[in-house]
Amino acid sequence: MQELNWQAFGFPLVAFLPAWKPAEGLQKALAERLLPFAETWDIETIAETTFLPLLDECRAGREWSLAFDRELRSVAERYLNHTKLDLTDPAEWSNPLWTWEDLLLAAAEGEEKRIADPEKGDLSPEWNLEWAIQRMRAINLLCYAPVPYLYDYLSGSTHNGEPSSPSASISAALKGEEPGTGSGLPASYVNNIYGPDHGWREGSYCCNVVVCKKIYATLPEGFTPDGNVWLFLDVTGADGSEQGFSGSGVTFGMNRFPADAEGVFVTFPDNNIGSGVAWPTRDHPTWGGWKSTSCQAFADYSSLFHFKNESGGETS
Amino acid sequence: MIPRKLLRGDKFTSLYDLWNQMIDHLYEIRPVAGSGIQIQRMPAGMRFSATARGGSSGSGGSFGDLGPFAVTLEENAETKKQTVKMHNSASDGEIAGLVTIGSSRFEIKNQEWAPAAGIVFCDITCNAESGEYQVLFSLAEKLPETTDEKRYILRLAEVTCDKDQKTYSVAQIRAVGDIEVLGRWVK
Repeated sequence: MQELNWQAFGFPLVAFLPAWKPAEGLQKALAERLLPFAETWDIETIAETTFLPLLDECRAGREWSLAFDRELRSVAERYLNHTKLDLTDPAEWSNPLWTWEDLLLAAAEGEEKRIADPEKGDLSPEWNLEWAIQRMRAINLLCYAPVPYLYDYLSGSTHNGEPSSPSASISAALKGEEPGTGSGLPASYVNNIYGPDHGWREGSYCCNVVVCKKIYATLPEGFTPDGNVWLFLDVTGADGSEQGFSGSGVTFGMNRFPADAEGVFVTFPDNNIGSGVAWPTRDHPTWGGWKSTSCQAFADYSSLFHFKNESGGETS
Repeated sequence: MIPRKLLRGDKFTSLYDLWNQMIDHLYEIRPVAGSGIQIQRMPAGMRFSATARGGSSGSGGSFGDLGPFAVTLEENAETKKQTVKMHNSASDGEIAGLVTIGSSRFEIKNQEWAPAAGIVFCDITCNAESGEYQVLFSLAEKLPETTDEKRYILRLAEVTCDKDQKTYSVAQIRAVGDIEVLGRWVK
Protein backbone atom coordinates (compact mmCIF):
# COMPACT_ATOMS: atom_id res chain seq x y z
CA MET A 1 0.00 0.00 0.00
CA GLN A 2 1.24 3.48 -0.83
CA GLU A 3 2.54 5.38 2.16
CA LEU A 4 -0.25 7.43 3.61
CA ASN A 5 0.56 10.38 5.82
CA TRP A 6 1.14 14.09 5.48
CA GLN A 7 4.88 13.70 5.11
CA ALA A 8 4.52 11.43 2.10
CA PHE A 9 2.86 14.31 0.27
CA GLY A 10 5.34 16.97 1.29
CA PHE A 11 3.56 18.43 4.30
CA PRO A 12 4.17 20.58 6.17
CA LEU A 13 7.02 21.93 4.00
CA VAL A 14 5.06 22.13 0.76
CA ALA A 15 6.44 25.50 -0.30
CA PHE A 16 7.40 25.46 -3.98
CA LEU A 17 6.39 21.85 -4.49
CA PRO A 18 4.58 21.11 -7.74
CA ALA A 19 0.87 21.61 -7.19
CA TRP A 20 -0.12 17.99 -7.70
CA LYS A 21 1.62 16.29 -4.81
CA PRO A 22 0.22 18.21 -1.82
CA ALA A 23 -3.14 18.50 -3.54
CA GLU A 24 -3.30 14.74 -3.94
CA GLY A 25 -2.40 14.39 -0.26
CA LEU A 26 -5.21 16.72 0.75
CA GLN A 27 -7.67 14.74 -1.36
CA LYS A 28 -6.59 11.47 0.21
CA ALA A 29 -6.77 12.94 3.72
CA LEU A 30 -10.27 14.20 3.06
CA ALA A 31 -11.32 10.84 1.66
CA GLU A 32 -10.04 9.24 4.85
CA ARG A 33 -12.15 11.60 6.97
CA LEU A 34 -15.20 10.22 5.16
CA LEU A 35 -14.45 6.64 6.24
CA PRO A 36 -16.35 6.92 9.57
CA PHE A 37 -19.47 7.48 7.50
CA ALA A 38 -18.79 4.69 5.01
CA GLU A 39 -20.09 1.17 5.22
CA THR A 40 -16.61 -0.30 5.20
CA TRP A 41 -13.26 1.07 6.34
CA ASP A 42 -11.52 0.83 2.98
CA ILE A 43 -8.22 2.66 3.31
CA GLU A 44 -6.60 0.52 0.59
CA THR A 45 -8.81 2.03 -2.09
CA ILE A 46 -7.88 5.52 -0.97
CA ALA A 47 -4.20 4.63 -1.12
CA GLU A 48 -4.51 3.19 -4.58
CA THR A 49 -6.74 5.90 -6.01
CA THR A 50 -5.18 8.81 -7.84
CA PHE A 51 -7.62 11.60 -7.17
CA LEU A 52 -5.96 14.19 -9.36
CA PRO A 53 -4.73 13.68 -12.90
CA LEU A 54 -1.04 14.50 -12.97
CA LEU A 55 -1.13 16.37 -16.24
CA ASP A 56 -3.91 18.62 -15.05
CA GLU A 57 -1.94 20.03 -12.16
CA CYS A 58 -1.53 23.51 -13.60
CA ARG A 59 -5.19 24.33 -13.86
CA ALA A 60 -6.29 27.21 -11.72
CA GLY A 61 -5.41 26.67 -8.10
CA ARG A 62 -8.17 28.92 -6.89
CA GLU A 63 -10.78 26.92 -8.76
CA TRP A 64 -9.45 23.68 -7.34
CA SER A 65 -9.26 25.12 -3.83
CA LEU A 66 -12.86 26.29 -4.02
CA ALA A 67 -14.04 22.83 -5.00
CA PHE A 68 -11.96 21.23 -2.26
CA ASP A 69 -13.33 23.61 0.36
CA ARG A 70 -16.90 22.77 -0.57
CA GLU A 71 -16.14 19.09 -0.04
CA LEU A 72 -14.21 19.69 3.17
CA ARG A 73 -16.99 21.81 4.61
CA SER A 74 -19.59 19.12 4.04
CA VAL A 75 -17.39 16.63 5.88
CA ALA A 76 -16.26 18.95 8.66
CA GLU A 77 -19.77 19.89 9.69
CA ARG A 78 -20.37 16.26 10.64
CA TYR A 79 -17.46 16.18 13.09
CA LEU A 80 -17.49 17.13 16.76
CA ASN A 81 -15.70 20.36 17.59
CA HIS A 82 -13.73 18.91 20.46
CA THR A 83 -11.69 22.09 20.88
CA LYS A 84 -14.75 24.04 21.91
CA LEU A 85 -16.06 21.31 24.08
CA ASP A 86 -15.04 21.30 27.69
CA LEU A 87 -15.21 17.60 28.35
CA THR A 88 -15.05 18.20 32.07
CA ASP A 89 -18.05 20.49 31.97
CA PRO A 90 -20.61 19.11 29.55
CA ALA A 91 -23.15 21.63 30.72
CA GLU A 92 -21.24 24.15 28.60
CA TRP A 93 -21.81 22.09 25.52
CA SER A 94 -24.22 23.74 23.10
CA ASN A 95 -23.47 23.32 19.40
CA PRO A 96 -21.24 20.29 19.31
CA LEU A 97 -20.29 20.13 15.64
CA TRP A 98 -17.71 22.11 13.77
CA THR A 99 -18.98 25.15 11.97
CA TRP A 100 -17.08 26.15 8.86
CA GLU A 101 -16.21 29.52 10.35
CA ASP A 102 -14.86 27.99 13.55
CA LEU A 103 -12.81 25.46 11.63
CA LEU A 104 -11.23 28.08 9.36
CA LEU A 105 -10.42 30.24 12.35
CA ALA A 106 -8.85 27.35 14.22
CA ALA A 107 -6.87 26.34 11.12
CA ALA A 108 -5.57 29.91 10.94
CA GLU A 109 -4.45 29.49 14.54
CA GLY A 110 -7.06 31.92 15.78
CA GLU A 111 -5.96 34.83 13.62
CA GLU A 112 -8.95 35.93 11.62
CA LYS A 113 -6.89 38.05 9.26
CA ARG A 114 -4.84 35.05 8.24
CA ILE A 115 -7.79 32.92 7.17
CA ALA A 116 -7.25 31.75 3.60
CA ASP A 117 -10.71 31.46 2.12
CA PRO A 118 -11.13 31.44 -1.65
CA GLU A 119 -14.84 32.12 -1.18
CA LYS A 120 -13.87 35.60 0.00
CA GLY A 121 -11.65 36.16 -3.00
CA ASP A 122 -8.53 36.53 -0.92
CA LEU A 123 -6.73 33.48 -2.25
CA SER A 124 -3.76 34.92 -4.08
CA PRO A 125 -1.53 33.73 -5.59
CA GLU A 126 -2.83 30.56 -7.20
CA TRP A 127 -1.85 27.39 -5.33
CA ASN A 128 -1.70 29.39 -2.17
CA LEU A 129 0.76 27.96 0.29
CA GLU A 130 -1.02 29.34 3.35
CA TRP A 131 -4.28 27.81 2.18
CA ALA A 132 -2.66 24.38 1.85
CA ILE A 133 -1.15 24.53 5.33
CA GLN A 134 -4.43 25.71 6.85
CA ARG A 135 -6.35 22.90 5.19
CA MET A 136 -3.89 20.36 6.58
CA ARG A 137 -4.51 21.83 10.03
CA ALA A 138 -8.26 21.79 9.45
CA ILE A 139 -8.27 18.11 8.55
CA ASN A 140 -6.11 17.35 11.59
CA LEU A 141 -8.82 18.95 13.70
CA LEU A 142 -11.43 16.49 12.46
CA CYS A 143 -11.02 13.74 15.02
CA TYR A 144 -14.37 12.97 16.61
CA ALA A 145 -16.91 11.51 14.21
CA PRO A 146 -20.36 10.29 15.15
CA VAL A 147 -20.84 6.64 15.97
CA PRO A 148 -24.20 4.94 16.07
CA TYR A 149 -25.63 4.07 19.43
CA LEU A 150 -28.55 1.97 20.65
CA TYR A 151 -30.42 1.71 23.89
CA ASP A 152 -32.22 -1.20 25.46
CA TYR A 153 -35.44 -0.53 27.28
CA LEU A 154 -38.46 -2.13 28.83
CA SER A 155 -41.95 -0.84 28.28
CA GLY A 156 -45.35 -1.67 29.61
CA SER A 157 -48.73 -0.17 30.30
CA THR A 158 -51.95 -0.74 32.20
CA HIS A 159 -55.23 0.35 30.69
CA ASN A 160 -57.90 -1.96 32.08
CA GLY A 161 -59.57 -0.05 34.90
CA GLU A 162 -58.50 -2.56 37.54
CA PRO A 163 -55.70 -0.97 39.62
CA SER A 164 -57.00 1.14 42.43
CA SER A 165 -53.81 3.13 43.00
CA PRO A 166 -51.02 4.52 40.87
CA SER A 167 -48.50 2.14 42.46
CA ALA A 168 -50.74 -0.84 41.67
CA SER A 169 -51.09 0.39 38.12
CA ILE A 170 -47.30 0.70 37.76
CA SER A 171 -46.78 -2.76 39.25
CA ALA A 172 -49.22 -4.20 36.77
CA ALA A 173 -47.52 -2.43 33.88
CA LEU A 174 -44.09 -3.67 34.94
CA LYS A 175 -45.35 -7.24 35.11
CA GLY A 176 -46.22 -7.16 31.45
CA GLU A 177 -43.22 -5.16 30.31
CA GLU A 178 -41.60 -6.02 27.01
CA PRO A 179 -37.97 -5.48 26.05
CA GLY A 180 -37.06 -3.30 23.12
CA THR A 181 -34.10 -1.64 21.45
CA GLY A 182 -34.15 1.88 20.10
CA SER A 183 -31.88 4.27 18.25
CA GLY A 184 -33.74 7.48 18.94
CA LEU A 185 -33.97 9.47 22.15
CA PRO A 186 -33.73 7.35 25.30
CA ALA A 187 -36.12 7.95 28.21
CA SER A 188 -37.22 6.47 31.51
CA TYR A 189 -40.59 7.59 32.77
CA VAL A 190 -43.93 6.81 34.29
CA ASN A 191 -47.05 8.45 32.99
CA ASN A 192 -49.91 8.09 35.48
CA ILE A 193 -53.46 8.72 34.26
CA TYR A 194 -56.65 8.82 36.27
CA GLY A 195 -58.82 5.89 35.05
CA PRO A 196 -62.00 7.85 34.20
CA ASP A 197 -59.95 9.99 31.77
CA HIS A 198 -59.74 6.83 29.66
CA GLY A 199 -63.30 5.76 30.31
CA TRP A 200 -62.65 3.45 33.25
CA ARG A 201 -64.30 3.38 36.60
CA GLU A 202 -63.89 6.00 39.26
CA GLY A 203 -60.94 5.25 41.53
CA SER A 204 -59.01 3.32 38.90
CA TYR A 205 -55.64 4.26 37.48
CA CYS A 206 -53.84 3.72 34.15
CA CYS A 207 -50.21 4.18 33.37
CA ASN A 208 -47.49 3.94 30.72
CA VAL A 209 -43.99 2.93 31.77
CA VAL A 210 -40.72 3.02 29.86
CA VAL A 211 -37.48 2.03 31.57
CA CYS A 212 -34.17 2.63 29.83
CA LYS A 213 -31.73 -0.09 30.83
CA LYS A 214 -28.56 0.56 28.86
CA ILE A 215 -27.09 2.87 26.18
CA TYR A 216 -24.20 1.57 24.11
CA ALA A 217 -22.23 2.34 20.96
CA THR A 218 -22.32 0.17 17.89
CA LEU A 219 -18.71 0.57 16.89
CA PRO A 220 -17.13 -0.09 13.51
CA GLU A 221 -15.49 -3.46 13.13
CA GLY A 222 -11.99 -3.47 14.52
CA PHE A 223 -12.45 -0.22 16.38
CA THR A 224 -11.47 -0.59 19.99
CA PRO A 225 -12.65 2.20 22.23
CA ASP A 226 -9.87 3.40 24.42
CA GLY A 227 -11.46 6.04 26.56
CA ASN A 228 -12.22 8.02 23.42
CA VAL A 229 -15.87 7.25 22.71
CA TRP A 230 -18.35 9.59 24.29
CA LEU A 231 -22.07 9.92 24.60
CA PHE A 232 -23.66 13.31 25.10
CA LEU A 233 -27.13 13.06 26.49
CA ASP A 234 -29.22 16.13 27.22
CA VAL A 235 -31.86 15.26 29.78
CA THR A 236 -34.97 17.00 31.07
CA GLY A 237 -37.95 16.00 33.18
CA ALA A 238 -40.41 13.48 31.80
CA ASP A 239 -42.96 16.27 31.43
CA GLY A 240 -40.36 18.59 29.87
CA SER A 241 -39.71 20.57 33.03
CA GLU A 242 -37.00 20.47 35.61
CA GLN A 243 -39.63 19.89 38.28
CA GLY A 244 -40.73 16.75 36.49
CA PHE A 245 -37.26 15.29 36.51
CA SER A 246 -36.39 12.28 38.62
CA GLY A 247 -34.18 9.29 38.15
CA SER A 248 -30.84 7.79 38.88
CA GLY A 249 -27.89 7.38 36.54
CA VAL A 250 -28.51 10.71 34.85
CA THR A 251 -28.71 14.30 35.95
CA PHE A 252 -30.84 17.11 34.68
CA GLY A 253 -29.12 18.82 31.76
CA MET A 254 -26.15 17.60 29.76
CA ASN A 255 -24.70 14.23 30.66
CA ARG A 256 -21.43 12.87 29.35
CA PHE A 257 -20.61 9.18 29.40
CA PRO A 258 -17.41 7.52 28.20
CA ALA A 259 -17.77 4.09 26.70
CA ASP A 260 -16.26 1.10 28.47
CA ALA A 261 -14.30 -1.62 26.72
CA GLU A 262 -17.55 -3.15 25.52
CA GLY A 263 -18.78 0.14 24.13
CA VAL A 264 -21.36 0.60 26.91
CA PHE A 265 -21.92 4.20 27.91
CA VAL A 266 -24.26 3.74 30.83
CA THR A 267 -26.28 1.03 32.52
CA PHE A 268 -29.20 2.22 34.59
CA PRO A 269 -29.85 0.65 37.96
CA ASP A 270 -33.14 -0.98 38.71
CA ASN A 271 -35.03 1.35 40.94
CA ASN A 272 -38.49 2.18 42.01
CA ILE A 273 -39.37 4.21 39.00
CA GLY A 274 -42.77 5.26 40.17
CA SER A 275 -41.77 6.51 43.57
CA GLY A 276 -42.48 10.12 44.29
CA VAL A 277 -44.76 10.64 41.30
CA ALA A 278 -47.87 12.59 42.25
CA TRP A 279 -51.26 10.89 42.05
CA PRO A 280 -53.12 11.87 38.91
CA THR A 281 -56.52 13.52 39.10
CA ARG A 282 -59.24 13.97 36.54
CA ASP A 283 -57.77 15.65 33.43
CA HIS A 284 -54.43 15.97 35.18
CA PRO A 285 -52.06 13.10 34.29
CA THR A 286 -48.73 13.11 36.09
CA TRP A 287 -45.23 12.30 34.94
CA GLY A 288 -42.10 11.09 36.69
CA GLY A 289 -38.64 10.26 35.36
CA TRP A 290 -36.67 11.73 32.51
CA LYS A 291 -36.47 12.03 28.76
CA SER A 292 -33.63 13.09 26.53
CA THR A 293 -33.86 16.01 24.17
CA SER A 294 -30.68 15.16 22.31
CA CYS A 295 -28.41 12.17 22.24
CA GLN A 296 -25.25 11.90 20.19
CA ALA A 297 -22.25 9.62 20.36
CA PHE A 298 -18.82 10.48 19.03
CA ALA A 299 -15.60 8.56 18.80
CA ASP A 300 -12.08 9.84 18.41
CA TYR A 301 -10.90 8.14 15.23
CA SER A 302 -7.39 9.57 15.44
CA SER A 303 -5.87 6.18 16.10
CA LEU A 304 -7.28 4.93 12.80
CA PHE A 305 -6.39 7.95 10.69
CA HIS A 306 -3.16 8.09 8.72
CA PHE A 307 -3.36 11.81 8.03
CA LYS A 308 -3.03 13.37 11.45
CA ASN A 309 -0.81 15.53 13.55
CA GLU A 310 1.94 13.15 14.52
CA SER A 311 3.46 15.59 16.98
CA GLY A 312 0.40 15.40 19.18
CA GLY A 313 -0.64 19.03 18.99
CA GLU A 314 -3.96 19.84 17.53
CA THR A 315 -3.19 22.02 14.57
CA SER A 316 0.44 22.12 13.59
CA MET B 1 27.60 19.26 -56.36
CA ILE B 2 25.20 16.38 -55.95
CA PRO B 3 26.92 13.03 -56.44
CA ARG B 4 25.61 10.61 -59.04
CA LYS B 5 23.13 7.93 -58.14
CA LEU B 6 24.32 4.49 -57.24
CA LEU B 7 24.39 1.98 -60.09
CA ARG B 8 24.02 -1.77 -60.07
CA GLY B 9 27.45 -3.29 -60.11
CA ASP B 10 29.11 -0.43 -58.26
CA LYS B 11 31.88 -1.76 -56.09
CA PHE B 12 31.36 -1.41 -52.41
CA THR B 13 34.49 0.69 -51.98
CA SER B 14 33.11 3.31 -54.39
CA LEU B 15 30.32 3.97 -51.88
CA TYR B 16 32.78 5.71 -49.56
CA ASP B 17 33.59 8.28 -52.22
CA LEU B 18 29.95 8.87 -53.15
CA TRP B 19 28.96 9.14 -49.51
CA ASN B 20 31.64 11.76 -48.83
CA GLN B 21 30.55 13.70 -51.88
CA MET B 22 27.05 13.73 -50.41
CA ILE B 23 28.37 15.06 -47.08
CA ASP B 24 30.31 17.80 -48.84
CA HIS B 25 27.20 18.74 -50.73
CA LEU B 26 25.15 18.95 -47.56
CA TYR B 27 27.73 21.30 -46.08
CA GLU B 28 27.52 23.45 -49.19
CA ILE B 29 23.78 23.87 -48.97
CA ARG B 30 23.58 24.16 -45.17
CA PRO B 31 22.17 27.55 -44.17
CA VAL B 32 24.55 29.63 -42.12
CA ALA B 33 23.53 32.62 -40.07
CA GLY B 34 24.97 35.86 -41.27
CA SER B 35 24.81 39.52 -40.53
CA GLY B 36 21.18 40.48 -40.03
CA ILE B 37 19.95 36.92 -40.57
CA GLN B 38 18.98 34.59 -37.79
CA ILE B 39 18.54 30.88 -38.04
CA GLN B 40 16.63 28.97 -35.47
CA ARG B 41 16.86 25.20 -35.55
CA MET B 42 13.94 23.47 -33.94
CA PRO B 43 12.71 19.88 -33.96
CA ALA B 44 10.02 20.89 -36.43
CA GLY B 45 12.44 22.57 -38.81
CA MET B 46 14.43 25.72 -39.26
CA ARG B 47 13.23 29.24 -38.98
CA PHE B 48 14.92 32.15 -40.77
CA SER B 49 14.38 35.70 -39.68
CA ALA B 50 15.95 39.06 -40.13
CA THR B 51 17.25 40.73 -37.00
CA ALA B 52 15.39 43.88 -36.18
CA ARG B 53 18.20 45.44 -34.26
CA GLY B 54 19.90 47.77 -36.67
CA GLY B 55 23.58 48.18 -36.04
CA SER B 56 23.85 45.19 -33.80
CA SER B 57 27.01 43.23 -34.18
CA GLY B 58 27.08 39.53 -34.60
CA SER B 59 24.27 37.15 -35.26
CA GLY B 60 21.41 36.68 -32.91
CA GLY B 61 19.10 33.81 -32.04
CA SER B 62 15.90 35.38 -30.83
CA PHE B 63 12.57 33.68 -31.29
CA GLY B 64 11.50 36.34 -33.72
CA ASP B 65 9.63 38.59 -31.30
CA LEU B 66 11.55 40.97 -29.12
CA GLY B 67 11.26 40.93 -25.38
CA PRO B 68 12.58 39.82 -22.00
CA PHE B 69 14.88 36.86 -21.54
CA ALA B 70 15.97 36.77 -25.15
CA VAL B 71 19.17 34.83 -25.63
CA THR B 72 21.31 36.00 -28.52
CA LEU B 73 24.82 35.61 -29.78
CA GLU B 74 26.59 38.94 -29.69
CA GLU B 75 29.89 39.89 -31.27
CA ASN B 76 32.00 42.80 -30.18
CA ALA B 77 32.62 44.94 -33.25
CA GLU B 78 36.17 45.71 -32.27
CA THR B 79 37.46 42.57 -30.63
CA LYS B 80 35.26 40.22 -32.63
CA LYS B 81 34.81 38.30 -29.40
CA GLN B 82 31.49 36.52 -29.21
CA THR B 83 29.30 36.15 -26.14
CA VAL B 84 25.99 34.51 -25.42
CA LYS B 85 23.83 37.22 -23.94
CA MET B 86 20.55 36.98 -22.04
CA HIS B 87 18.78 40.32 -22.15
CA ASN B 88 15.60 42.12 -23.01
CA SER B 89 15.94 42.35 -26.75
CA ALA B 90 13.21 44.98 -26.87
CA SER B 91 15.26 47.45 -24.86
CA ASP B 92 18.82 48.41 -24.18
CA GLY B 93 18.40 48.37 -20.39
CA GLU B 94 20.28 46.35 -17.82
CA ILE B 95 17.29 44.24 -16.84
CA ALA B 96 16.83 41.03 -18.77
CA GLY B 97 13.37 40.47 -17.38
CA LEU B 98 11.20 39.75 -14.38
CA VAL B 99 10.70 36.44 -12.61
CA THR B 100 7.46 36.17 -10.64
CA ILE B 101 6.98 33.46 -8.01
CA GLY B 102 3.69 33.95 -6.25
CA SER B 103 3.83 37.29 -4.53
CA SER B 104 7.58 37.59 -5.04
CA ARG B 105 9.09 39.31 -8.05
CA PHE B 106 12.73 39.38 -9.02
CA GLU B 107 14.49 41.71 -11.44
CA ILE B 108 17.09 39.77 -13.33
CA LYS B 109 20.00 41.64 -14.79
CA ASN B 110 21.45 40.95 -18.20
CA GLN B 111 23.89 38.07 -18.19
CA GLU B 112 26.60 36.99 -20.58
CA TRP B 113 28.52 33.78 -21.02
CA ALA B 114 31.43 32.70 -23.15
CA PRO B 115 30.06 30.76 -26.11
CA ALA B 116 29.78 27.06 -25.49
CA ALA B 117 27.47 24.38 -26.75
CA GLY B 118 24.75 23.81 -24.21
CA ILE B 119 21.54 25.02 -22.68
CA VAL B 120 20.71 28.41 -21.20
CA PHE B 121 18.29 27.77 -18.38
CA CYS B 122 16.63 29.30 -15.38
CA ASP B 123 17.17 27.42 -12.12
CA ILE B 124 14.96 28.34 -9.14
CA THR B 125 15.27 26.74 -5.73
CA CYS B 126 13.47 27.39 -2.48
CA ASN B 127 15.09 27.26 0.93
CA ALA B 128 12.96 24.86 2.96
CA GLU B 129 13.47 26.71 6.22
CA SER B 130 13.47 30.36 5.26
CA GLY B 131 11.21 30.04 2.23
CA GLU B 132 13.57 32.31 0.29
CA TYR B 133 13.89 31.78 -3.42
CA GLN B 134 17.18 31.68 -5.29
CA VAL B 135 16.91 32.46 -8.99
CA LEU B 136 19.91 31.61 -11.15
CA PHE B 137 20.54 31.56 -14.88
CA SER B 138 23.25 29.41 -16.40
CA LEU B 139 24.72 28.19 -19.63
CA ALA B 140 25.72 24.58 -19.16
CA GLU B 141 26.41 21.64 -21.40
CA LYS B 142 23.46 19.73 -19.97
CA LEU B 143 20.51 20.48 -17.76
CA PRO B 144 21.25 19.54 -14.15
CA GLU B 145 20.02 16.15 -13.10
CA THR B 146 18.03 16.47 -9.94
CA THR B 147 15.35 14.68 -7.99
CA ASP B 148 14.60 17.75 -5.93
CA GLU B 149 10.91 18.38 -6.52
CA LYS B 150 11.29 21.91 -5.25
CA ARG B 151 13.77 22.78 -7.97
CA TYR B 152 12.26 24.56 -10.96
CA ILE B 153 14.25 24.42 -14.17
CA LEU B 154 13.16 26.22 -17.29
CA ARG B 155 15.02 25.99 -20.58
CA LEU B 156 15.43 29.28 -22.40
CA ALA B 157 17.70 28.61 -25.33
CA GLU B 158 20.09 26.15 -26.87
CA VAL B 159 23.55 27.07 -28.06
CA THR B 160 25.01 24.84 -30.75
CA CYS B 161 28.48 24.78 -32.16
CA ASP B 162 29.47 24.00 -35.70
CA LYS B 163 32.89 22.53 -35.08
CA ASP B 164 33.85 22.59 -38.72
CA GLN B 165 32.90 26.20 -39.25
CA LYS B 166 33.84 27.09 -35.67
CA THR B 167 30.69 29.11 -35.32
CA TYR B 168 27.97 29.16 -32.73
CA SER B 169 24.28 29.65 -33.15
CA VAL B 170 21.54 30.19 -30.61
CA ALA B 171 18.03 28.78 -30.77
CA GLN B 172 15.48 30.34 -28.47
CA ILE B 173 13.52 27.46 -26.95
CA ARG B 174 11.22 29.46 -24.72
CA ALA B 175 9.48 32.40 -26.38
CA VAL B 176 10.70 35.71 -25.07
CA GLY B 177 8.78 37.21 -22.18
CA ASP B 178 8.88 37.62 -18.44
CA ILE B 179 8.84 34.40 -16.43
CA GLU B 180 6.06 33.46 -14.04
CA VAL B 181 6.29 30.22 -12.11
CA LEU B 182 2.91 28.51 -12.15
CA GLY B 183 1.58 25.27 -10.73
CA ARG B 184 3.53 25.39 -7.49
CA TRP B 185 2.51 26.10 -3.90
CA VAL B 186 3.75 29.61 -3.22
CA LYS B 187 3.25 32.50 -0.88
